[in-house]
Amino acid sequence: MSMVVLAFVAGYAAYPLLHPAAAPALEAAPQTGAMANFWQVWHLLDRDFYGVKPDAQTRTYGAIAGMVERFGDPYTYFVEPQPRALERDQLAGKFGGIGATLEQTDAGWLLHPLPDQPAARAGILDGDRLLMVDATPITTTMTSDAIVNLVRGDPGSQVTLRVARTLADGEEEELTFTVTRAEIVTPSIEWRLLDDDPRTADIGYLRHTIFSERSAEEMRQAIAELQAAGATRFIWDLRGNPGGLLDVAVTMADFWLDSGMILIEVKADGTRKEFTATPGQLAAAAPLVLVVDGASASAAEIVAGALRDHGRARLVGSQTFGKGSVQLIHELGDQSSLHVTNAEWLTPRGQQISGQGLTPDVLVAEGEDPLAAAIAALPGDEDVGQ
Amino acid sequence: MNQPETHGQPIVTPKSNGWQPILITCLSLVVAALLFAGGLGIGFAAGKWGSAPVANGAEESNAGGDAAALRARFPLFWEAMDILYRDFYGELPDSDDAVYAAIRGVLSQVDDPNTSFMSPDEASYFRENLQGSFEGIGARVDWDMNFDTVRIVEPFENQPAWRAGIKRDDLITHVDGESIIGADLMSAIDKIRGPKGTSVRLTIVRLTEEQPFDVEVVRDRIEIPTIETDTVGGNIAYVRLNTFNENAGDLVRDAVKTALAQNPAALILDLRGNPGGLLRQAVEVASVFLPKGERVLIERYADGKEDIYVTEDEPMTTDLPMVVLVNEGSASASEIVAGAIQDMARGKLVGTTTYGKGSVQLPQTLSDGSILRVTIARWFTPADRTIDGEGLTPDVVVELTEEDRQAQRDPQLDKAIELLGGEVEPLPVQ
Repeated sequence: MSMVVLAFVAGYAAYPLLHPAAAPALEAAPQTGAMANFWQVWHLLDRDFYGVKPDAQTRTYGAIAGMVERFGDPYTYFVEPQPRALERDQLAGKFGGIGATLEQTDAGWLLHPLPDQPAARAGILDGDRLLMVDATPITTTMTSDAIVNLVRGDPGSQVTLRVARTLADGEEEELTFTVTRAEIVTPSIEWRLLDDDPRTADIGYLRHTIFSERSAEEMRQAIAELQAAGATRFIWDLRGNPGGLLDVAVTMADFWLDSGMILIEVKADGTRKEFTATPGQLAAAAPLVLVVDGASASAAEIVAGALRDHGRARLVGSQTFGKGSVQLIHELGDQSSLHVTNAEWLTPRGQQISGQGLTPDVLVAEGEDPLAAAIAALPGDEDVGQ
Repeated sequence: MNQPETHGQPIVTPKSNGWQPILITCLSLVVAALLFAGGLGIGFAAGKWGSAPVANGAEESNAGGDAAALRARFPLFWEAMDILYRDFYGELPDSDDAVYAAIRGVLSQVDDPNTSFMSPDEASYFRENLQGSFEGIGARVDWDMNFDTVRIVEPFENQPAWRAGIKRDDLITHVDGESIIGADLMSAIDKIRGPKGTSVRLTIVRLTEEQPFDVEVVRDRIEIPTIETDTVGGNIAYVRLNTFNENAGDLVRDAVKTALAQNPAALILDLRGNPGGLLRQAVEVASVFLPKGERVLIERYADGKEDIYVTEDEPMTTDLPMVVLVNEGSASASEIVAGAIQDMARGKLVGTTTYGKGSVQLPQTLSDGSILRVTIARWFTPADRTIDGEGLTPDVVVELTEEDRQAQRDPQLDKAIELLGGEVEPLPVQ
């Protein structure tokens, strides 16, 4: 489930950070007498506990996580600052970094610099073993998340890496590099023409892995390039796509619709908000098929539900995940974050998908190739005019 | 802070793989109390054992103060709570429950399963259970974190669950067809318990069986006596203590006194399955068998302070040959007594390795009636051994198999009788 956990996020970028003093709704939370117990417990632990006492921050995080869990919703949860930073980068589709990947080996963490990125330009070579990031020694037991957090930072800022390099004679030398971080982009869509086979050479294929801030722009670029290369039909592959930003899903569904509803959002107080398509499409009436599976969730399901309800695209694959709720991500004072389920959404025809998902128009049995089924389901040239 | 009325008496209970065993003052153990381990020494006279809490200079701040002060101290928590109560789509939890969940969240960061919290409801349920009128299936249970359901810790001998064939470590997944997986211990126990004479269908997962199966159990009134006495092996006095409640010391003393009047050749103290209870009672029970002034245990606190507990009463017998029966269900207070008797060479331990609970908890009743149990100390045997996580190794290891149980054989008791020179009774005719 961890895949879906990150799933669906509504407008986190647009949401103002809340500060306790400024929050208008402070009094909405209970003023509870039970809270006095909380401090008694805190104090008694400090005073009497035999054993290692967790520090105040750890306890605070534990308290928040415990309290949040009581809400009984798997999508309402607390994220500590470090994972939060990675989550933010993932949804932004970019981060300040050095342009290298990390590989964990028995010997330690190895760097693989990407061409023309800051790490490579600074002189780091493929296979250099990371010893230190600024003043922090890197150990084999550290998690990749922990190391990534050390290496990443604002574009333009500098990070000092100490590495061990194995020389041709088998000797190792230690080197230090100062690398200026740059904006590193993480694409969410890869695309190509299916021109291995002349019969499918007019099909543009888009593999879409997450709804990040960059996704809409990437799709715009993808469709333009594919059309220039001769694509007249498209396959949008949403398998394994856990969702992402709501606004991005709406924009991307709109790319394929001229009018009508994309989704209906229903809040706790009963208010309904309809998201509607605007005139104009990326690829006019080009045939489109979406490929989905059990890990296509939330934003992916919004797109699939909208395009299917309007008859704009057929769904091929297997039953989707079924996540019909919307979360707000609030950044808290210390850069941790709180995901709160804030609404549920319905497809244009009013279908609630929570727990059930969307059933594809063409179900692909296990063992069959969903891509082949998608090609078969795509109206082809030979169908035109029939 | 305003220190609540501390019914604090150091108590010792087994630690756990999740089950927080038992108890103190339970005359009848039911499927329930058990959860709430040893807790509350309700109304215990505190005087002579000194007060356990060590106020080592922690500031007695106004922790229970007004909301503004709380917010100032804990802004992140309030920020999160405000957002949730404002924006959450779905049913809002009761605010007290949310705070109790926060307390449990804090305790989950403490690497100690014995430090635990009971909400007022749970605490009052526990107190009721201590009154002792239970009707249920007669098994000690707990919540298995791995399988997220109820696990049988110990079916009490000859009680309904035991008679129905339920075994230790069985997992209960459904009660009368209704799943309890992912529920919580309290609500599961509520479903399992019921009036005497009614029956309940339990779906059991036993790891040695491929398929889950149903067992029908007819509930009964569960009475587990604190103490049982007998004469075995011809002329050997037998005393079984099932829990270290507030009467345990007196009951053992009286039982031994009565037995001694019969001039027994030896004595067996059976602590098998005894999960412990009150520390003070462990010392009193040891006092029955060890010379006055003898060391029973050493307790060490977080601040390095050390308390040495010694026997304070005249013993009943210091030379009558003696064996203590123990098993993996003998925990905490049982291990204190058995450890002292072993260290002082007062008698041999026979059976299997004991549970291994070497920590001491202090239960504190908080202002709204909830209860916090905090591990405040570790204890060591008179020879300064720790048993935490290891248990006591018997001088003579004798297993008791499931087959023995079914056949009502007791090779551990037989070995004790043999060591004490008594006559081992022939096996019952099958």
